[in-house]
Amino acid sequence: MASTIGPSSENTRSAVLDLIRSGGVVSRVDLVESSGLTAPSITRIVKVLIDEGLVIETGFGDSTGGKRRTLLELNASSRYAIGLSLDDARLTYVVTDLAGNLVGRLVAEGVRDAAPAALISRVAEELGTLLVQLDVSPADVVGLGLARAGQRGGGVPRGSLASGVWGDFEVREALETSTGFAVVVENDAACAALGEFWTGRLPATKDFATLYMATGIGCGIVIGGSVYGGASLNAGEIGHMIVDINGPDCWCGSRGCLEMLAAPRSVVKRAMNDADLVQSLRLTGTEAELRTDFAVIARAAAQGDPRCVSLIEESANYLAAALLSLTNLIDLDQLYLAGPGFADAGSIYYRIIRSRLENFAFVRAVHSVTVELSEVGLESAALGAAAVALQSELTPHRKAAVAT
Amino acid sequence: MKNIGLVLVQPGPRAVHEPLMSGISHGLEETFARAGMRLVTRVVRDSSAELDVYRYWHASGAVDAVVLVRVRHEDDRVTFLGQLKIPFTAIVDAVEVGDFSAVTVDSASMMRSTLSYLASRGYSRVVYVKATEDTVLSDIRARMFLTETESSNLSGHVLSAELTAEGASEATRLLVTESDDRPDAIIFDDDVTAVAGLSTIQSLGLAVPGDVAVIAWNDSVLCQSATPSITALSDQAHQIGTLAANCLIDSVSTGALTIVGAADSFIVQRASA
Repeated sequence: MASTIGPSSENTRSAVLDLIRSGGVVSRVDLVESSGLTAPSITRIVKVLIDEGLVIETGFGDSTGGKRRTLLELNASSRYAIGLSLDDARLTYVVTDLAGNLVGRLVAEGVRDAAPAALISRVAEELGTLLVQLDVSPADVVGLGLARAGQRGGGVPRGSLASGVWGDFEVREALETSTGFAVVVENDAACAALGEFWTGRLPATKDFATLYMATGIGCGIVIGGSVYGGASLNAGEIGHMIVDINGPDCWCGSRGCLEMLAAPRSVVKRAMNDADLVQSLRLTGTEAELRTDFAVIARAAAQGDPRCVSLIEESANYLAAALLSLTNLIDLDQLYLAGPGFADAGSIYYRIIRSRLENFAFVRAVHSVTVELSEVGLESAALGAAAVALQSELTPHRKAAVAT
Repeated sequence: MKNIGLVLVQPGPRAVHEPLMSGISHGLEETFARAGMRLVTRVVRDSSAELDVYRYWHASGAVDAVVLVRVRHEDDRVTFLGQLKIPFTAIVDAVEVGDFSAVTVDSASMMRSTLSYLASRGYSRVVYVKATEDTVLSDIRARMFLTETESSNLSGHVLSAELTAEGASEATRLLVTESDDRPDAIIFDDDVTAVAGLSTIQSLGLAVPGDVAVIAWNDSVLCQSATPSITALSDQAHQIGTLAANCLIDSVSTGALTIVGAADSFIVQRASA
C-alpha cells in the first residue's frame, strides 16, 4: 500500500476502506499514519463509511495518555458479493460477506450445450433462489463477479463446449439486465489465482501461478500482487503453449498445443480407443458428456485402474512439461493446480508435476519450486470472482492493480 | 424435489475447505446436479444458528430436503427436522444409526483393520490422537480404538489435542519424550496433524517408522508428499457424498426408510507405517 493517498474523493474513500479491511481492527490515528491523510480528512471519511454501514465502531483501544482511541472495523455482514463460475460441468455460485468469508454456495447443472439466452435466464432464477435460501437481501449485494473461459476483444473463447455460441454474446450486459446486479467478467484462471489470495494463504506480495483446468486449460500469473494481464488482458493462455511441434492441429490454428494433448477432451479421446475400457466405464464419447466421461476416468485412475492411471499420467506429463517451461521462463517458486479438472485425480497430477519440477527445474540448485493442489480447487474461480466484484465495487482504487 | 440444503458449522472464518467435507460436498453436488437438483450450502458459526437456518428454510419453503452431517448420539437436529417434516438423509457412524434415512460409515471396522495392520507389522504400543474440538467423529473413533485395543494384544492410549499442526506437534512432543512408555505407533485424526506429528518426531532425533510409526486417518496429497510418505486410510469422501445424495433421492421418492452402508476405507500403505 502506498504511504500517501491522492486527493480524489472516491479513490480516497475507497483506499481508506481498504486500509480498514486489511488492517482488521484499527483506530483513526492508525489510519492517519498509514494513509498520510490529515486527521480531519480521516474523521470525515470514516463518518461517511459508518453512515453507509460499511464500517462499525467496535470498542476502545489502549489509552495513550489522553482520550481513549475508538476502534474501527469492517462491518462484514453489511454487504455481500456474488461469484459465479460458468463451467460446462457445473455452475458454482458463492456468496461472500464484505470481508470475503464464505456465506454460502450453490452448485447446479453445468453449461453443457445450453443456448446463451436460456442459460442467462436460468442463472437469474438460480441466483434469486440462492439469495432467498441464504436470507440475503438483493439490496445488500454490491455486485456479481463472473468467471469464465474466454478471450477478451471478440476473439475465440477457450475450448469450451459452448464456444461457438458464446463468442459474440454479450454475457455481461445480459446478466446485468436479468439480475439487476453490477457484473464484472473475468477470466476463470485469473479468478482462481485471486481465489488463492482470498483464502488468505499467501502474502500479498508473493509471485505465483495457478494452472486452472476445466474443459480447457488456462493460467493466472500473479506478479507483485496483481494478476499479469499482458497487452490485451489475455495473458495466461498456457493451453496454447506448444508442447509438440509435430503434434495434432489445434482449433486455434496452431498445432501441438498443450490443450490438444492434456485437456479432458484428449484424455477421453484416447480412452475411446480402448473398447474394453469404454464398456466397463460406460463412456459415451459425446461432446455433451465430455466432462462426465473425464471425471469417470479420473476417478477410476484414483482408485488405481492401471489403464486410467496411464491415461491421466500422459495428460499430467504434458502439463508438467508446460509448467516446467513456464517456471524456467519467469523463475517462479510457487505453483497451484486448481479447477474441476483436478478434483478427481489431483493426486496423480500432483505427483507427476512435482517430480518433474523437482528433478528438472533449471533453478533447482538455487531454490525449490513448490506445487500445491489448491484447497479451494473446485470453487477457486467462483471465490476469486466474488473478490473481483468486491474490489471493483468497494475499492475501485485497486481495480487496476488486481482486477485486470 | 429440487432444492437440497446442507448446513456447515464452521467456527473459524476460513475453515470451510477441509478435504473430507470438500470431498463429500463434491459427491453430493455432482449427483444432485445430474438429477436436475441443486445443493445449497450455508455456512454458520454455531449449532444454534444451524437450527435457525432449518427453521427459516421450513418457513420460506426455499429448501425441500436436507443432508445432515456430523450426527452425534441423540442429535437434537434429527428430532427438530422431524418436527418440521423436512425430509433428510444423514451421514452417520454405524453405531448411531436410527429410524431415519442414512449413509453409515463403519469406524469400528476401519479401526479394527488399522490396528491389525499395525499388529501384523510388530507394533504394540499405539496411541490415537483425537481432536478436542469438533468431537463427534473423533469421540466415536476413540471409543472404537479403546474397545479394539482392549480385545487385542496391543496397549492403547488416547490423547486429546487441538486438531491443528501446532496441537499435534505439542501432543507428539509429549508422547515421545515420555521415556518410560514411548508409543511405537501413533494414529492421527487427519492429514495435517499426521504431517505435523511426523516432523516433530524427526526433529526429536527419532526415526519414522523405525522408532515410531505414523498413520493418518484421512488421506490427501499432504500424506503423499511428506518424507517419508504417510500411510493413511483411503479417501472415501466422494463416494459417501454420492451415496448420500442417492439415498435422499430414493427415500423421498419411495417414502421408505433407506439405510446404505459406505464401503470401508482401506489402508494406503506408504513408508511411515
